[in-house]
Amino acid sequence: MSTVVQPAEAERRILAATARPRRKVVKYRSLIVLLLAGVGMGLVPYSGLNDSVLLTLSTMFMWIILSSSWNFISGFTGYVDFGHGVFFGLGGYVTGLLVVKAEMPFATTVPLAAVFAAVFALLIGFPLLRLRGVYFSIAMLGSFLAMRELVLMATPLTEGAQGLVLPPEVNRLFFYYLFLGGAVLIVAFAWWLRRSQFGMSLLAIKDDERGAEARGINTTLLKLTVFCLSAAITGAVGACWAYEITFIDPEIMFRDSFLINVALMTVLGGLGTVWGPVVGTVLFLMVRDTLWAEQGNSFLVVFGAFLIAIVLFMPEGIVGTVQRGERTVLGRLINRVRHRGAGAADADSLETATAVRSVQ
Amino acid sequence: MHTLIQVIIDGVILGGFYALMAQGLSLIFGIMRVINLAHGEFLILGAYMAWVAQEYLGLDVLMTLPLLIALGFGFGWVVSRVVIMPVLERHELMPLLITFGLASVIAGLLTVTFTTTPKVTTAAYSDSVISLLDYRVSVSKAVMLVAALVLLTMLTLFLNRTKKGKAMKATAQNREAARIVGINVTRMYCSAFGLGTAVAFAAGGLFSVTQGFHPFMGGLFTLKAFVIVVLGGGGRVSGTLAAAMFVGIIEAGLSGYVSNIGTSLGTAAAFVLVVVVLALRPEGISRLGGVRA
Repeated sequence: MSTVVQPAEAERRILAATARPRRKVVKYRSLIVLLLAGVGMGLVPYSGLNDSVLLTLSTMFMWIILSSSWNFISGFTGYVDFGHGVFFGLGGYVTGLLVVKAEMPFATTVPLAAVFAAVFALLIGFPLLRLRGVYFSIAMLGSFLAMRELVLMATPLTEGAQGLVLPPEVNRLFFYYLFLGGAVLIVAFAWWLRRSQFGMSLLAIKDDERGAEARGINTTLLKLTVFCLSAAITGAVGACWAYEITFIDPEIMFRDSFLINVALMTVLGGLGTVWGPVVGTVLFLMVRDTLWAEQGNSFLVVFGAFLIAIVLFMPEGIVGTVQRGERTVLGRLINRVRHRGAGAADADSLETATAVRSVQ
Repeated sequence: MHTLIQVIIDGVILGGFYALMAQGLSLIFGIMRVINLAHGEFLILGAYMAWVAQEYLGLDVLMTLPLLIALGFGFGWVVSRVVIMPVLERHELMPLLITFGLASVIAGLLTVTFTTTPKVTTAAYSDSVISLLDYRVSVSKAVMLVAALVLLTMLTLFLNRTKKGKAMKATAQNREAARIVGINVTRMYCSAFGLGTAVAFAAGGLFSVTQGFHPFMGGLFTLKAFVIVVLGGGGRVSGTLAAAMFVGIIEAGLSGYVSNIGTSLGTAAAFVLVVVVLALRPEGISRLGGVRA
């Protein structure tokens, strides 16, 4: 056994031999880009742009946070959460109720909303996350639909379909910087997660859950942790959003399009990647806002079809295809272009590595 | 006492419909190991087709039924061939994403075509009611129950008695062995998906006479079908039938005894049932896996 070089080992050696030495700058390249982008975006409000541009940008930052947090549970761990909107809605309602009924200041309600969402995630995650992915997915969809009905029913508390009116707080800049800061933080966190042992264990769960378990990874604990984290982030964003729009009702806070939006943004950009949700969100919102001014029902048709097309033809998403796209035609092409400058020997060994991988 | 018996009658009727609906989902899952998140949307699509056939062609639902089954089979076959088969070998989240997209496409298309105004298919017997000892059942619901039971029986006979049905079960039990003995596995998968869709279309057609429907009901049906499949243990038709009756009676009871919010409570109850069942039986339905008939 020891004398025969395993294919995986061979591939590792090949890649290690051909990889250029990693300098510190390369290692932290993503973080530097992120920081520059964050600072650049932070200066935008001073460039004299009008209010609607700021609103568009802050909405974009909000969706980056949401799709990134969805990516933690669905992209990294492989447990597709089709009811993630339930945490968004819960967060919004916790803040709405505390601000309106208990007259608490907004800032204190956000952590409470996050905690509430996390506790709810813990309660439903405990029985559900021990199961294989499909059960989890559909049960989350169920919890989303059921929670909307429950909020609609609990009229004495939530005012049902009448909705809640929050004290108006039209400070565009405040929400702009809030969501910008959140987006930068979450991408930085994703960057850390992608290279930490925690993140690697999550990816291992996605690839081979039983194998990961056999290797001593406490899969249930990790899944629960990342699920609660993802829920808390989404709950906090829901709380902020509810405060921004100043009026909430079950149809607004628990809207169906939320579910397909986060799924599409993340899948388009690349499941389980750091930059995937960012790229996917920006592209998605640009396409949506330029082509479909109103979120009618043709929106559902086009984006549903779009989701199917991406899964069929570019399952790794944009970022995934660019980074490690040997598995798709487009990705191989990108790889060839990228490695052309590196010399023939380099390209050859890469081909070998690809061949070895495809044999596996 | 009177309410209780009426609730049980209503629950059994609802349960018959649910059993048919869930059997479609169960068939697809059992043979392909794919949870079809668009199952409820398929059902609503069938309901709209029955409505169109009645409205524009003047066909009665029972006459449309064979047509619906044929259309559903063809539609399901094409859908699985074009979008499900290519991702079947990949990570299990891929078919989920595909069927989720499909659900969205169908719901959107139906809204664009028919708007969200609820529709009801009319039939000659729409307004008639059977009264027996002051218990009342509308004829359309009774027809739904009988037709659902007949279709379920036919499906069972098909899977157990015909060569094609047995081949399908064999594929579910052991794909490699099935391939070795000369069964075309891809064709079996497509047939299974087609059959499941046909069942959903038929259930939708029957349902369309009894109650108003709109394009966004699909998600709830998918959820309920899933609850029933899990509750029923994913085994035989009898298990599904019993689970469907259970869910139907609970739902009828909630809307019968709790005023105003009973129907919404039924939805919430269905969800609580999923969590409880999955918590108590963490192996879910996969342990029994495979054959259902």
